[in-house]
Amino acid sequence: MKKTSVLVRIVVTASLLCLIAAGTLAASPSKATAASKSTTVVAGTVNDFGGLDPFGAASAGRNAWIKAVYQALCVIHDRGTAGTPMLAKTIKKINDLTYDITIYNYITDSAGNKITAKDVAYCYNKAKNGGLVTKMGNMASCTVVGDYTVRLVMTNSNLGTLDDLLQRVYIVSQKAYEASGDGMASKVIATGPYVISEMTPGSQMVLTKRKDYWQKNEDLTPVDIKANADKVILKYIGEAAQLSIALESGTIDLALNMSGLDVDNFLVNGKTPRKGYSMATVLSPFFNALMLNMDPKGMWASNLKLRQAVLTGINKEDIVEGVLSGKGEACFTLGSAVYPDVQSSWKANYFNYDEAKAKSLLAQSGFKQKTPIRIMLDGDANRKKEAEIVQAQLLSMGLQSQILAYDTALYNKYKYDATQWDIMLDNYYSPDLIVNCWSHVFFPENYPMKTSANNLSDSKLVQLIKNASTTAGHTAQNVDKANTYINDLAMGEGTFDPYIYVFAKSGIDIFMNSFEGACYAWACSFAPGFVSAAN
Amino acid sequence: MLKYILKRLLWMIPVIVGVSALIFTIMSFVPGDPAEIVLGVQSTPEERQAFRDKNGLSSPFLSQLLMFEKNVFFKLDLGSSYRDSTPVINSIVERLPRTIIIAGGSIFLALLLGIPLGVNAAVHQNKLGDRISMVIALLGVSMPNFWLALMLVLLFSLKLGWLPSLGMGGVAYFILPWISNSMGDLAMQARQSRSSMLEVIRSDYVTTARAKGVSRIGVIMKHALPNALIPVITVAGNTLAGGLAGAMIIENVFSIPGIGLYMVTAINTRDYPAVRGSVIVVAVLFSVVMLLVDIVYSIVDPRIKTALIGGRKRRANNAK
Repeated sequence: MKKTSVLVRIVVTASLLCLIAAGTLAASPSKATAASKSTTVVAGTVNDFGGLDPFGAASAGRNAWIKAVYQALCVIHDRGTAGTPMLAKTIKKINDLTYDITIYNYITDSAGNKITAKDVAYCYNKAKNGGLVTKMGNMASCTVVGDYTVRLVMTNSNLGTLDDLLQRVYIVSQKAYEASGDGMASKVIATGPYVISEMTPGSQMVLTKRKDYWQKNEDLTPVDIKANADKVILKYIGEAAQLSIALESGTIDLALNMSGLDVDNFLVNGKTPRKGYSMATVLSPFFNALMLNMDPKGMWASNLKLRQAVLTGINKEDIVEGVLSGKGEACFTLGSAVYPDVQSSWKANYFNYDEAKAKSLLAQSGFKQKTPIRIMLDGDANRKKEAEIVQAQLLSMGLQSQILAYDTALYNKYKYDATQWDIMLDNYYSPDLIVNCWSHVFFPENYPMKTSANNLSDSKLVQLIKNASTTAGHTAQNVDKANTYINDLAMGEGTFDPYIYVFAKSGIDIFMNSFEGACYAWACSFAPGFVSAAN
Repeated sequence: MLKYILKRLLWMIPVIVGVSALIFTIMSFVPGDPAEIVLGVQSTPEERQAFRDKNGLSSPFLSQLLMFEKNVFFKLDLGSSYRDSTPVINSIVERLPRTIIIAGGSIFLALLLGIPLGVNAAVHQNKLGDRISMVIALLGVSMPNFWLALMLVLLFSLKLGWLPSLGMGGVAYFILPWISNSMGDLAMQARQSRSSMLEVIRSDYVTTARAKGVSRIGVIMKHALPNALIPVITVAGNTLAGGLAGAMIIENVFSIPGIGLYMVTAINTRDYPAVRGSVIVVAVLFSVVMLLVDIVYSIVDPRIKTALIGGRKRRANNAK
């Protein structure tokens, strides 16, 4: 009895400690006890915030906050358009590869440090040498030529290179960055209109509007950076179903990236938002593709009819319905329809599904199957569903296949090994134009095997894409030529492209940045009398 | 007893060294390239190679291992995460208390309800009480905890609005995670308690106690239960230790950033420093929990305490 009571006392004490700890150790987001006059918006996101380092690796999660806190020379609002100056006052062309950029002479960060040309040059060189900011190979140098002027020299004058460089690197004070000791990983000194006033990694981030933000002229502030909210509370919600529950229960005001499976809770007739909610939707710039392994030793490279048969036998509309419940679009090129240089005329004939034609092409190919076709993909839930549908469609043509789903890291290793797969399901992306997507997919310098992503070596294709990628060569005709050649090769096709949904309580006019395909919570408009979940 | 505890603590050192070397080796040879995951699909081979060179991933395996062991054991430096560049030790220290709260609260609930349920089932064997208890236990072990978590959220947060659906704050934020995380353990505790009690109830000393006129409660609480607790403590200890590795699913569903979610994300993204650091910390905690379980054994059962205190002291005690 005595021993049992000692044990009971130990258990009770431990449980009391847990309860006390639950109340004190856990970070406690405070709720205002009375309605506040300032505008606060609570936004939920399924993507983790990522690191705070301005020169850290990009991620979907960083899009939710980074442009409010750090600023670049320009910001791009719409895909395929030039950047809107942000820190940059003037951009002067010296030659095709060289530009002089002058920044405003009154930029200060949240610690009061003045931003000069030295800081800009420091940031560009830091981004290039740090190894985490990609595409810095497009920059040859960034040097100081005046107190507030830097000279940016590029390595190529391809379409979009300048705008990409101008918006890719975030500018901070060199003094503040070096003084932080950890690359601002724990404390941010902001150049944007917001500071991070509270942060619990993996849980919550609070952005508070700066009273000392350097740009007082509203006309010079890009619409993407307008600080319409006084406070933005970002909540990381890892479980997609919880995001819709949080919006419905009033825990959040804005759901930044709701999955297609949950959106029907907020839609009437599958189209318009329910009463009490507003919605914004864009097509994702990340489209999905089915690629055939064009390794010369593989089953596809020497058999055009076989390739055409398989691509014609894939019903993309079925994939959109089965994978996305219709919340997306079938691709009509190896790219997303959001890219401005995609041509709607391509819809007319893009491996349109025809089972009879597919079977006829298969018969003409003379293909005798010996082993199942290996369909390789990563762990993405949508691509798993896609794989099952593709497998069923291949079976209806008489082709056996097996699905090889790997975790992301293993998939990233095997996709460079031509012996591991026959069909690869992957997603691709372009920051701006479809020609830049194709250059990423097909240029051999991007892959360790020195061929395209699907092991194709075709110099004509590379040349056609290069012709269409220069400022002078980027014409509808050249882009069409490249697209036609890609289709003639029949070595892959875009399959489906999901919509990105953002839902909000009514009273919020959702702001979307089309370039990123992301909602910027701080730039949304708020109706008078809007009451936040935080109040 | 103190000597035994000190001996166990000293034994932890080679165990942790071994665990750290093992996890380093496993992560080094697991396929997957952290460079591509961190830098993204648009990165070039040159950028990925620069990442590997910067993080020492291009060095020979043995030199990487020696550097790692030196940093961990002489500088207490677990490195920085590839994903967000924050020191791993800071992330773990921040997240561990939340995992301890979830694991501790869940095991407390499991013990609080599971043991009485099992005792009740044993005392009323083959009667209605037993059937009801075992059905509850069966339900507990059958329901996936992520499903239960979402059902509880739909009911208590969305429909009734009684409890928050996610996040962190006061005790209210942990109630649903505790309930959903404890059901499986509760069922296990109930079944284990029932099984242990049934063995003990039939013992001669229990019969003697009844014959002496000890009340039913007295027989159960004073004679039967203490002897039935050893297997229950073992199960509870293993469950708590496992829980400290992180209830990843519960942490994900309720958006509580604990160590489980941190570890799983680190494994999937091949964030080697985060994985290694987390495993080492969890190994230390596991060892400490197992030591605590042994100490609790000795409190509950004096025969075990006698075995722990060593021969010389035992002979001295016997001589007295």
